[in-house]
Amino acid sequence: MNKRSYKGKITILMAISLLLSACSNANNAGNEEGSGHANANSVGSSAVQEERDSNINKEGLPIVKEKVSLQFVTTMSPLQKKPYADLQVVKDFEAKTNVHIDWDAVPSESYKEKKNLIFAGGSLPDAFYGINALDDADVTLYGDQGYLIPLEDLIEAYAPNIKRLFELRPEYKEGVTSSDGHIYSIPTIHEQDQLTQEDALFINKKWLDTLGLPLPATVEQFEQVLQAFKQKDPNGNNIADEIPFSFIYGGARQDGIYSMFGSFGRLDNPDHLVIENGQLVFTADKPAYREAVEYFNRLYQEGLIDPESFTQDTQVITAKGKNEGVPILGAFVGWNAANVLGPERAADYVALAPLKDSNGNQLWNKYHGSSFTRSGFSITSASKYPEVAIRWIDAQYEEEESLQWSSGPIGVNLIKNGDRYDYAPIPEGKSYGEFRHTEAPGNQSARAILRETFAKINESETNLAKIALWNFYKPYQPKEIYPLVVFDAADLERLNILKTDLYSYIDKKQAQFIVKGFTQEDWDSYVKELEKMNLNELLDIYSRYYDKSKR
Amino acid sequence: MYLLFLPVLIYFVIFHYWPMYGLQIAFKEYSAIRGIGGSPWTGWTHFERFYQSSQFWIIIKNTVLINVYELLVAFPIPILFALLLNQIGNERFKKTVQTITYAPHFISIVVVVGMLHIFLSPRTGMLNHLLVLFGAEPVFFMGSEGWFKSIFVFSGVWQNMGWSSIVYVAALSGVNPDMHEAAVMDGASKLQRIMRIDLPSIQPIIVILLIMNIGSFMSVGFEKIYLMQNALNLDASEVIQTYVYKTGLLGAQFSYSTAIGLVNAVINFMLLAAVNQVAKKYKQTSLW
Repeated sequence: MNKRSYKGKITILMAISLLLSACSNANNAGNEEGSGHANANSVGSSAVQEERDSNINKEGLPIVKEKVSLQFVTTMSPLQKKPYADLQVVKDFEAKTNVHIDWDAVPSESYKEKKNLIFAGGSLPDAFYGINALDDADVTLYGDQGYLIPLEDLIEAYAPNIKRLFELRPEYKEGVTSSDGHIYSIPTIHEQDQLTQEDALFINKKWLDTLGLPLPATVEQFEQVLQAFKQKDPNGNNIADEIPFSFIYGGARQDGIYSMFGSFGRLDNPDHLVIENGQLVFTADKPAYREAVEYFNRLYQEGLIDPESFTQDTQVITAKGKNEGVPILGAFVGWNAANVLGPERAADYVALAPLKDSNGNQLWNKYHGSSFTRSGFSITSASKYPEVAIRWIDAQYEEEESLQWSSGPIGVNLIKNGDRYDYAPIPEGKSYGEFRHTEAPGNQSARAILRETFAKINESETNLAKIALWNFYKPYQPKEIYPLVVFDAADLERLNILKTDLYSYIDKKQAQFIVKGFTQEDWDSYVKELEKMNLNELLDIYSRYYDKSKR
Repeated sequence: MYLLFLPVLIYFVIFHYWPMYGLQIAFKEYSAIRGIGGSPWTGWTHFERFYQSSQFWIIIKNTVLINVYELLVAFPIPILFALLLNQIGNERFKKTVQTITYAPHFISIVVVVGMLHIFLSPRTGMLNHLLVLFGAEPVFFMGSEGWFKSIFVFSGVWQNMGWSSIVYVAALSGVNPDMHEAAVMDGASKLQRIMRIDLPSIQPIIVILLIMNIGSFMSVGFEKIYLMQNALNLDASEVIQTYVYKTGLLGAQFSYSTAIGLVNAVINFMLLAAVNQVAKKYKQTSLW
């Protein structure tokens, strides 16, 4: 008995010591690797370094003589059904460059969490890839803290396409240069001007005709029309199943009601900041904002706003738009009509011009669009092959390559005619979005597509529809919106802290005001609470940078 | 003897005590590049910020209220259910009832919340159809602060009632049948037998389970609350854990959210110790 338990003890002791030594070994290996990185980034004269350098071709393809593997973290569109490694553009590119990429692709909805964990845990990939891989704050903060490496020397030495881009559009170079003078990310450029107009208000024209009503031009008329939709059974099925007005609440620029605030004198947007006569104005504590909220509250009380507007997502509103049988949706806000309604029913709906305010003014939101996004490609301090990585992305910033990563490969999604391109016809039963993402990362990719390039493409029907909407709303867009500025790390950190509480509070209150209504007291305590949450400090930071940008 | 305990000890040291080292970032300005040890100290800054935040009282209130509500409703129901089940003579019927009540336990939280959204939808939900049928106005359940806690607790009861009752059913089946026979001979009614025989026999188990429930008192089902949240019910649904998730993982303010998590753990520990003391005093059943 005794003997046996001794044996047991010894065995377990040995097991533990093994385990521990394994752990410490792993640690050592980790440390060595870590110091290896440091060397690689400094001048580095070791044999390994030389061997690595001789493997890299300074220009032309392939990038390396012997295959190199890099690990990238990226976002993935929900419309993309194949993993990155199986996409045709990715496979073709690997064949051309001789660089293999291990993609760590995270669906865009859960990406933020994953990204923050990567930075918190410190086990970094070689690079972050894609338009949504890092936001402005990440680039500044993580660049400042040393997670991301400065790229300007690498661009100078290895990236002719990116250099040309910066020469053509110096403002983009300025836009990615941090306040410490370094460039931590290659921007994504997608110069389609129609993307500056995001939301549109659609109304069922057929119902209007049935009821003999004109297109509403003022907020009062809009209210009357919605009432008629609710009461007079415009879809003619003898059931009061009509949804007069629906949208998606909560930070959604494309499907929210921000632009409709313009009908009360001042537009609103997710940041609640507008520029009026060269002055920064905070919207959410002003009388115009209050008036708009009161109006929406009235609509809600009268049962004209779909209550689920506050809880639904795109799928739910689409289900309402595409429901079987007669249409039930009266008016809604969206990117375009076809996405919500399907292509056939969309013909019954028209975009509504901004409703006039009491002075007869009409306003509609303008955003920065995606012509310039700071995030695109950032190399981390953990990468052993920053030169390979920069050459890899530079090869992708070549015109036709960028186009294929965004719109899909030539032969599948694009047809090349001489030096012009056509969009391939969309297969039956697929939306353009799904088709675009069959063989390419599509809207999640890092790319540089200039106006000049888009001019070489014969526009698709979807794009033409969006361009028509843009032209329709363009006259009502404000001249100036808050510029794209580069905050320095300390201010950015402070902004993040302030915004987390402040903006979620404003959002929450707006929803409550619309649904439940509010008294003067409620309003006063709301305004006071905003002050308590250091709204003024937030505005100070914003206006300081705005003033700087004007000079 | 002690050797058998070793794996458990190792498990706890590695997975439960070692991570506590990381708690110090609650008092630091954490940056992964500098590491946990190397980040600069900031003292109580993060705790002060949480305390001064306008969210503080709302969050604490919600966390406590939801838990008290859940404890009051969701804790006794499985006991009642087990007692009732125990009275059923027909074995087949009993088994069927048990199986049906267990079933919802295995549905994933995401699906349950999806079902809630569908059933409670103001336009198409069954419940609102019923309300309209009886001439009432439809209620927007998911978008109302008043309903949030009830929906949360009662959907939880629906989901876990059968499952949680298993322990009690097992305990009840261990009650000596002689006692029941004797009671019947003495002319005790069914209710009397439940009150005098069944309940006292499972009492130690009830107390232990109560203490264990208190142990996880402040950690309400995070996923479910998070999925059920929207701008309209936020005042009733923001709890410590969802707030930690939003500021920590989504907002990348790791030190701040660690501090909040620490506050949570400390409150929880104090509650647990208090309940344990009370139980010890009155019933001599306790965890330590």
